[in-house]
Parts: sequence; structure tokens; C-alpha cells
Amino acid sequence: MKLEHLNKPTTKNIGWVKSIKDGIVALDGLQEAKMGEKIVGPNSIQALVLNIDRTGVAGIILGDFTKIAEGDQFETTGEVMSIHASDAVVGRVVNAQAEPIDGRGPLPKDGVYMPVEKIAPGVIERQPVNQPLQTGIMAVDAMIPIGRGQRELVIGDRNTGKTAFAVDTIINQKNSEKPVVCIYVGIGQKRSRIAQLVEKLEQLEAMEYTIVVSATASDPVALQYLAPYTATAIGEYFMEQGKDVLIIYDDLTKHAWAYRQISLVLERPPGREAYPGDIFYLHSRLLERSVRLNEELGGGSITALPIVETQLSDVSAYIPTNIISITDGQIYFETDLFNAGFRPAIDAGNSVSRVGTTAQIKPMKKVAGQLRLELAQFKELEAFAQFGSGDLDARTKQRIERGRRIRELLKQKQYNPLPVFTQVALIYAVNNGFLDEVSLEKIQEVKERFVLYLEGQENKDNYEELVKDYFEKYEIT
Amino acid sequence: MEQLGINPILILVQVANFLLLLWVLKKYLYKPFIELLDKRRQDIEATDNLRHELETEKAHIDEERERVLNEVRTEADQMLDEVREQGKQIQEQMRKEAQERADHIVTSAKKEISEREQVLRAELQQEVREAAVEAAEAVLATNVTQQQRNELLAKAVDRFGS
Amino acid sequence: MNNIQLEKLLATLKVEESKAIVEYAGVLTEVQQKALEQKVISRYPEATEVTFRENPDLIAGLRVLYQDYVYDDSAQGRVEQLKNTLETI
Repeated sequence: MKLEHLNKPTTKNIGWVKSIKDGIVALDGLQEAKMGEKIVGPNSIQALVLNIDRTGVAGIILGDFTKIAEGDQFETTGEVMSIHASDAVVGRVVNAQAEPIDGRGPLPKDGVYMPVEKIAPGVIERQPVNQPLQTGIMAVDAMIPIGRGQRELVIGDRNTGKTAFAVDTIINQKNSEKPVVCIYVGIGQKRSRIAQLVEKLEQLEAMEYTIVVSATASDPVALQYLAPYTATAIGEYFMEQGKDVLIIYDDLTKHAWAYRQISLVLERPPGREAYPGDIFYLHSRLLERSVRLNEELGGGSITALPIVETQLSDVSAYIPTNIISITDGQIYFETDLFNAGFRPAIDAGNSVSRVGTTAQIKPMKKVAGQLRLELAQFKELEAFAQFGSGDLDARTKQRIERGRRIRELLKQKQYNPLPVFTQVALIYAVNNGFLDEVSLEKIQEVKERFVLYLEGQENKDNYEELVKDYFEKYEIT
Repeated sequence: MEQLGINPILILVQVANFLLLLWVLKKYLYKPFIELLDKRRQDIEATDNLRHELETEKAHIDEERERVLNEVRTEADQMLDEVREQGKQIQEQMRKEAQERADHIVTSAKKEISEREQVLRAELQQEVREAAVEAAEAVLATNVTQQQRNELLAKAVDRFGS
Repeated sequence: MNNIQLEKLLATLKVEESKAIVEYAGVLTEVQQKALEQKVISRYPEATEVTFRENPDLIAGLRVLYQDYVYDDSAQGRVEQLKNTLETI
């Protein structure tokens, strides 16, 4: 207990509340306050300084702003806004201030205080992204592969399976050789949804390596604004230990709304679609912190999967285009595909991963190239598929049938991620015609049986032999 | 001959009569009778044969039955063994599941206890903090004499601005 | 209000802004007061006036208030520091 240093006079800089509007507090005084500083008011309520001008200082209150009254006193702390991160936060559900909200007791204070705002690591501190982050979803791991340290946008209309995809990715990290700490940030979501998600993750034993940061729609908008930065700060805590981290931001559209609300109440001039002028910087500084550090700094990484919700598939809207230009690729979820039963509803043609095959293991690279080609050829011929197979030549017919089977194969049930070697075997099987004789309705059945068969195998590396063996012995369609 | 009273013609006629009778008898009595006897004998033979056949068949069937019974017996024995084995496995399975459930209950109870412990500890810590502050305030408020006050004030005046 | 009233109001506000207040607990001698006045003005040169008032809540020591700065050298201030330090462990 260091009590000696308490016995000194202090100089505080204080301010008085002029007005308080919906979580935004405007103060007189506080001339020493700096941007992004943490200021403290009555009952230890914290606020974050976001505005400094001639008329005074304004900030967002991180807590119950209904307890603040005009004239209340706030003082500077000289500290940037930071949250407390420790190893014990894994498996817990916390709010935007990294305080536990799952009723399982307080977090120990033996960790590190991580600043919520940080300048992203520079060029020298990074190394190229070349390690795969397996999502367990064949359509992605084969054709839109994600690497550790990449930012890959998940974009689509509402209810197209974006969050389900993110959850499946979290579940798949259970099988990962090099473990990944997963962080799911819910911004402006419904509480019931977060509760269901946590329950599902617990059921599938994924909460053991996952952290949920929650700022729901009924939480103050200040916390919704802060939540992604808090999650990134927690992620950086683990990254600096040399670990790999996956952060899912669900979703940044609602984050932008929260920031728009704050900016408008702070009376900053509204720009396009009433968003403030620095709406791009809001997300760019957040996502730039997802990096892969070089070996000297531990080799850890943060992979970001930001989710953006579009309206009527409009990817050329303001926020989507902003984030598309920030991320290293996007996975596009299509409503039509979803409604037609192709789930995950990923439009592989319009999706891209700018890291690409560098983030794939060799076997997958080999089989995925052909898969992509076959699928592209099938797409071109899809129009002809409507006409029935009467008028077409044999080659075209074969392409169409192959394409149909590939599409069937790429369907996956929720909560069912596939290990990468199973995926390689399946793709090898369809590429080399082992499924050509199987009728479309039976593909799922055959796939399930084959997956079960593979699970029982010891050496999964020689997938070619496994596929040949299996289809010769067992499948007599 | 006539002295003996034997009439040759009569004898002849008698003989003829006898032969005629014999013929008639043979045709209308003996033959059918013999035929009847033959038929009876045949019938008896047939019945005998049939009985023989039936007996051999019965022997076959008996053999077959024995064989099938033996097969069934061995199969039943096998099945019993399997069932016994399965029964053991199921028992083992149930025991394991029960054990797991018990372990799970114990671990989650332990977890709950430790969580409660932490919550209580935090509450206690908070109370200690508040008590410390209250104590400090109380002590200062009551135990500072006028002289001490003036001394402290003088010290503070000196300190200021340096 | 008209321009003259506005000017008058602004003038009074400016004057208010540049007053320094010294709060103390105990007995403050003339000598001490004079010394403090000097120190306050040298610390805050823009201060036009230094007023003194007794505040027994401080328990002991003094406090200097100027604009939005608070220099706290009081027992009550030490107790506040104690409370804040305890919150962080």
C-alpha cells in the first residue's frame, strides 16, 4: 500500500456541468482537459472528452447519466481512456468498459490497463499475412480464404446469415492447432440475441476461449460508440503476448449510427446522410489496429471480421463503401441465395479476399483452384440450365451437372464447421467426378456419410487415397 | 359195372355237373373272391409301403428338427452372450454417464461457490474501503486540536507556491 | 438586453473570472495572509483579487481556487485521495 505519496497537495482542474443531453455532457471550465481524456464526476462516474472549443468541453458519459445534474463537478485525471484487461476476461461477458455483466463475480485487478484509442502499429512492426484462419465454412476457406491479421468484411442485408457465419468461425477455432482467442462485440444488438449467442457458445464449449463485449441497443449510445475500441484494446492485450486473436464487430453499421447520434448532439456539422465528417476515420483507425506483428514483437495477430448491414443489397451506400475501402476483402451475403436455400448464402463471385491463396495450406490451394474454375464456368452456363438437358452437348451438360453438385456441396448446416482436411477431401471428390453419379437429392446424405467416415480415419493427409477408397467401397449409387 | 350199381352216364353227368359247378364257382365265386383277396393283399401292401414311407419321412423330419433345434440353440446361446455383453456395455455406459453428471454437478457447484466467494469478497472490499474512509474522516474531524490545526495551516502556507 | 447592459454583464463576468479564493481551516495571521496573497498572484498572474474565507470542512490546511484550478492542501483533500486510491485496488 503506497500511502506516503498520498500526503502531498494536489492540483486539480475542474469543470461544472452546463448541460446534459442524452448521455452527452457539456461543461464549463476544464481548460486543461485533453481530447480523449478520462474525466471523473460525482460517484466516480467517468466521461470521455470528445469536444474542446471556446465554449467549453463536452464528452460522453460512460455510465448512468441520469444521475448527473447541472452544476455537478467533474475533474481531469490526466489519463487517456483505458480499460482493464487480464487473462481472466476470457470466457466472460463484459460491457464497453470491460466490466463483467454475466453475474459471475468481479474480474481480478492484476492485469494491464490498455488504452482504448491507440495508433496502429507501423509498417516495420508488421509482417505479411500468410497463416490461415480457418472458418470451417467450405465456401470461404476454399475460395475466399482469410489469413491471421487480415480484415475481411462480412456484408449483406439483414437476416442473411452474417452473424451465423461469424459464430461458426468462432466454433471452428476449437479445432485450431494454434489457438485463437475470439472476441465478439455486439454493438446495438438486442439483449436477447446476445444471451442466445452466449448460451449457444457455452453449449458448444466455445466460451472457453471467447470473450463477449456487449453494448446493446438499450445501453447508452456512449457505450455503443466505445465498445469496438474496448474490444480491440482487449485484443491487443492478447496479441502483445504473441497470441492470435479474432475480433468480430457485429455490426459497424449500428456503430456508425451511435457515432452519428453523438456527433449531432455535440452539434458537429452533419455531412452526407447526416454522418459527421470523420465517420471514415472512426472505422479506419479501429480496423487498422488489426495486424500481424513481426516475430520480435511476439508474432501475435488480430484478425477482424467487421459486419455491415446493407439496405436492399446496396453496397454503394456511404458506410459500406467506406468500410470496403478499408478492409482486405469482403464476403458478400445475398438474400436471394438465402431464400433459395443456399446457406451459407455466400456469393462467391462478388466476394473477394485480397490476401488470397497465401493464406491457404498447400492441399487446399491445389483443389480450390479447380473448384473456383468449375464454379465460374457453371455460372456462365447457368442460364442454359433452365432449358433442360435436351438441346445441349455433352460437355456443357457435364459442366452444368458438376456445377450443381458443387453448389450442393457448398451448403452447410449451422453450427457445423468442417475441419480443413475434410474440406480438402470433399472438394477433391467433387473435382474428380466422384460425385457425378450421385443424384442431387442424395448429395447431402453422401456428404454426411463421407464426413463421418473421415472422422474415423487416422491419417487425414493422403486425402486422395481416402476419397478413392471410400467411393469405390461404399458408394454404389 | 351195372352190377355195382354204378351208372357210367350218371357218373359222367355227375362229373360234368361237378365240372360245371366248379367252372361256375371259379368264375363267379372264386375269381372275385381271389380278386378280393388279391386286392386286400395289395391294399395291405400299399398301406405297408405308405407306412414305411411315412416312417422314413418322420425319421427325416425328426433329424431335421433336431438339426434346427441345435442351430437355434447355438444361435440363442450366441444372442444371449451378445445381449449379456450389450447389457454390460450399457451398464458401463450408464455408470460413466452418471459419473460424468456427478462430476459436472460437482464442478459447476464448485464454480458457483467460487463465484459467490468472489462477489462476496468484492462486496467486503468495498465495505472495507468505505469504512477506512469514514474512519479517517471521523478521526480527523474529532481529534485535531486547534493548535495542530494552526500548525498544519502554517505548514501548508509555506508549501504553497514552492 | 441592450448593448450597454450586455457590456456591463460581460465586465462583471470578467471580474468574477479573475478572482482567486483561499479557503482555510484554523487561524490565519495577517503575516500568513499577506504571504499567501503574494504567492497566489505570482502563481496566477492574471488574478486581480485574492479573497480569504474560512472553511471548517477542510478539517486542516488550505485550498486555493482560481478559475477552474483547485490547489488542495487540506486534510479533507487527503481523505479524498485515499478514497480514490482505494477504488483502484
